[in-house]
Amino acid sequence: MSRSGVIALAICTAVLLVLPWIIGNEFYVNMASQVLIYALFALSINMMLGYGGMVSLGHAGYLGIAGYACILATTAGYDQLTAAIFAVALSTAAAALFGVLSLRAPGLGFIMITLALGQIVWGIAYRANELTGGDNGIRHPARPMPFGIDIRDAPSFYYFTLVVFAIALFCIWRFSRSPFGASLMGTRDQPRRMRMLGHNVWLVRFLTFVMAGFWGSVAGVLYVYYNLFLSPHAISLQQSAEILLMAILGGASTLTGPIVGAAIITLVKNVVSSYVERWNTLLGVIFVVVIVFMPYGLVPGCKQLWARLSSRKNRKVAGATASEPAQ
Amino acid sequence: MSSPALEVSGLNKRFGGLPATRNVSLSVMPGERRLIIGPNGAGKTTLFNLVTGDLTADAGSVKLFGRELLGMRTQDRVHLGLARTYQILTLFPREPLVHNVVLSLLGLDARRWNPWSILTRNRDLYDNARAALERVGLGDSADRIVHETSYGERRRLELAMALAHKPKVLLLDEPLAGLSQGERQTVRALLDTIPRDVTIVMIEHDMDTALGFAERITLLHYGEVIVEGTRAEVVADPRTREVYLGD
Amino acid sequence: MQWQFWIIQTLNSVAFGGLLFMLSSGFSLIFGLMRIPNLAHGAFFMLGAYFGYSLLIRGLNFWPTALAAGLGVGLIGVALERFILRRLAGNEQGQVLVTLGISFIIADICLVAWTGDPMPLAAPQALRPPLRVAGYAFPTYRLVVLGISLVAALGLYLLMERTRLGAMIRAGVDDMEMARGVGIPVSRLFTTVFLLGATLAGIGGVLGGPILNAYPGLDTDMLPLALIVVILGGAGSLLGAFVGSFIVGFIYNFGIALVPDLAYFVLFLPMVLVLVFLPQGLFGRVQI
Repeated sequence: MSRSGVIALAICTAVLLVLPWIIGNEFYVNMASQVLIYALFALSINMMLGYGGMVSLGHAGYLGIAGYACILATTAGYDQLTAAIFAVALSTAAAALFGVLSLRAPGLGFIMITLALGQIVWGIAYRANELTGGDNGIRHPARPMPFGIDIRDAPSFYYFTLVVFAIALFCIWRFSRSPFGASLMGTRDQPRRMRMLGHNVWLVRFLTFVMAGFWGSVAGVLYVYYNLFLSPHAISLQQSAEILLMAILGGASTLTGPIVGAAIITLVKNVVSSYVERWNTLLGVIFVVVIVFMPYGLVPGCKQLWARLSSRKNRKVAGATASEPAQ
Repeated sequence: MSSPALEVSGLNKRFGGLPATRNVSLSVMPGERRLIIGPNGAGKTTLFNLVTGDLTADAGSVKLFGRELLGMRTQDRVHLGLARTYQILTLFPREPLVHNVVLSLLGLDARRWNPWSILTRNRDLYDNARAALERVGLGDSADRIVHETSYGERRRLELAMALAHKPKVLLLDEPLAGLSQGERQTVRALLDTIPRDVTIVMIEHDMDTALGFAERITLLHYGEVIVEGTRAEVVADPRTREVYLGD
Repeated sequence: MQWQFWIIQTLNSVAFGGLLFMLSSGFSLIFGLMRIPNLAHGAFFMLGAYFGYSLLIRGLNFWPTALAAGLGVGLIGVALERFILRRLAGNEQGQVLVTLGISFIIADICLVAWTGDPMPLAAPQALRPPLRVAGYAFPTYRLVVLGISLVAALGLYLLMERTRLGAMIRAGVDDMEMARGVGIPVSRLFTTVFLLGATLAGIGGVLGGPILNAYPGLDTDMLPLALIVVILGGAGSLLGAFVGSFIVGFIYNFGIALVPDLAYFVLFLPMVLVLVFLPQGLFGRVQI
C-alpha cells in the first residue's frame, strides 16, 4: 500500500474507533452501525460485481435466508452462537445452489436468474405466514451477548459491528490481492483467454458467488441483531437494487468504493425519508444518473481528480512541461 | 516410427447448414513446424477452435500425444500441454506485461485457488514471468501497462504468455498479422529460438516469412484438406495455384 | 361439485396465462432483439392498468381504453428507449440497470398519482354475467381474456412470419451484425420493437385489471413471472413465450389455490429443472 494509503487508513481507523464519543447522539451512532452493515452488504456484492463482472439482483435473498433462519433458530431455543452459525451456514448453502443455477447463463441471463431467485425468496417469506409471519414480519428476541458482553446500547453495538466489519473487510481485501482474486479479475476481462491459459472459469465464478453469499449472510445476521425484526420489505428487489447501487455509486472497481456508496446512500435515505416520501423515485433517479454519467463511480472519479490536481501542482513547481498529462 | 504429437482424424463441423470443417485429418509429429495455409474462410481458425475446445466438433477425433481431446474442457486440454495464441489479441490491457504472464503461469499453478495469500509476494511467479518476457525481448518493458505498448510488443507478449506454459503443442494463429517488416523479422527470429520439444502448428498469410519457417504445409480450402506435404511439394503442386488463383 | 373447482381454476390459469403472454411476449422480443432484459416491463404492465383505471372512470369504453392505455405506455417506452437506452448503446449491463431505475421511478409516480389503495377496473358490462353451458357457469370475462391473448399470439405470429418487419426482427434476433450488414435500419427497428413490447404490456395491464386490480406492487409481482416465462420458454422465441406463459399460469394459479404458502416455491422447481437440464429454455433461440 502506498504511503498516502497507509495514512488514510490510519486516519479512518482512528475516526471509526472514537466515533461514538465524537457523535454524542445515539441516533447517529445507530446510523453509523447501519452504514457499516450496508457497507458489508455492498462489499459482498462487489466481490461479484467489481472483481467478477457479475451483476446479481437477488443479493437481498441472503439477508432473508440468514435473517429468518437466525430468528427462527433463536426463538426455537438454540443459543445465539449456534443460531448465528446455523443461519450463515444455511444461507451460504443456498448461495451454492443459487450459484449453480445462476451460472447456467452468464451475462444477461445471470441478471435475470438472480432477480428471479431473489424474488422467490421474497415470495416465500411473504406467503409462508406460519413460518415467517408473512407481511407482518417476526421479531428477534434480543441482541446476543458475545463473550458475555452486553451490546444492547448503541455504542456497544456499534463496536461489535465495527469488529465484524473490520474482519470482513480484511478478508475481502486479501481476497482482492490474492491469486484467486487476480484469476477472477482475469475471467471478468477475458474469459475465453483465461480458459485457454488453464483456468476453470466456471469454478472461479461459482466460488466467488458462494463467498459473496457468505459475507452477505453475515451482514444479514448483523441486520437482524440491529433491528431485532425482519419482514419481507427488507428483502425486496428494491433492497437488492440499493445494495447494487451502493457498489456502483462508490466505484465497483475499488475496495473502498462500496463503503463510500453505502455511506452516501444510507445517509441520503435517512435524511430524505424524514422530509419526503419519495425515496424510491430518488433511488431510481440516482440509478439512472450514475449509470449514464458516472459509470465508474465516485471513488475512481475522485482519485483521478486528485491525481490531476497534484500533477498540476507538481508541474507548476517544476516549471517545465516535459511530462505527459495525467490520464 | 514415433507417434504424432497432434493427430486430427475425420474432424467435422457445420454451422447451421454451412460446413466449416469437412473431414479434416492431419498428423503433426513431435518437434515439427507445421504451417496451415488457405484463403480467407478456408476454416483454419475454426480448425484451431475445434482443437482447443472453443468450438464443439460434430464428429471426428483430436489426439494430443495419444490422448483424445474431444469432449474435454478447454482448460483440461491446456493442462495436458496445449497452448494457443489468437489472431485478435486477447490480453489484459489495463495490467502490466508481467501481470499478464503471471496470469498465464497461474493457469497451471495450484496457487490460483488461494483467496488469502498476497499474489505479489509469490516472487517465484514474478521471476518466471520476467524471464518469459526476457526471452521474447520484453524484459525491460515488464512493468509497463499493456495499452501503453506498441502492437508489435503486444504480439510478443501474446507469444510469451503461451510459451510460459512450456507447452507440448503450440498453436499460433497468425502471429505475424499486422506487424511491420522489421517486427516480422523479430518475431520470426523468436520463433526460431523455440526449442524442439515444443511442436508448432501455425496459421499464417504472410508467405515470405512463413514458408521459410515451415517444414510441412497443409493447405485448406472450404474446410477441406486440399494438399499436404513438404514445402517444396506444396509449392510445386498445381492444386495450390488453383486454390489461390481461383477457378 | 369438485368439477366446478377444477374448471374454474383451469380457466383462471389459462386467463392468467394469456395475461402473462401479453406481458412476456414483449419482454421476450425486446430481449431477443436488443439483448436488454427490460426490468421496467412489470412497471409498464402496472402503468397500463392504472391508465386504464383513469380512463374507465371517466366513462370511456373498455376496448378503446385498453388500446389507448397500451399506446400511452408504448410511447413512454419509446421515450425510454430513445432518450436513455440509446445513450448507453454497447453497455448492456448499464442498460439493464437503467431499466431497473426507471421501474422504481414509474412505480413511485404511480403511488403518488393513484395512492396506495388497490384500484379495481370494471370489466365491460356485457361480459359480467357468467356464461352458462351444460349447467355450469363459466366466468365470461376470463374466457374473453384468453381469446384476446390467442388473437394477439396469432397476430404476432403473422407479424413475425409474414411481414417485412417480422423478417427484420427475426434477422436481428438471429445475427445482429449480419442484419446491420444487409442494411436493416437497426435504430428504427429497436424503437419499433420497444413500442410494440411496451404497448402489449400496457394492454395486458388493462386486460388484467378486472382480474388483478391495479395496485402498488403489481409490477414486482409480474416482473419475476415474466422472467420465469422467458427462462422456461427460451429467450427470443414467441412460441417459447406462449408455451411458457401457460405453464407458469397453471403452476402459479394452482399453486396459490392449493398450497398458498408455497406458491412461489412451486414455481421455483420447474425453473430449476429447466436451468439445470435445458439452459436454453424449451424453445430458446438466443443464448441468454
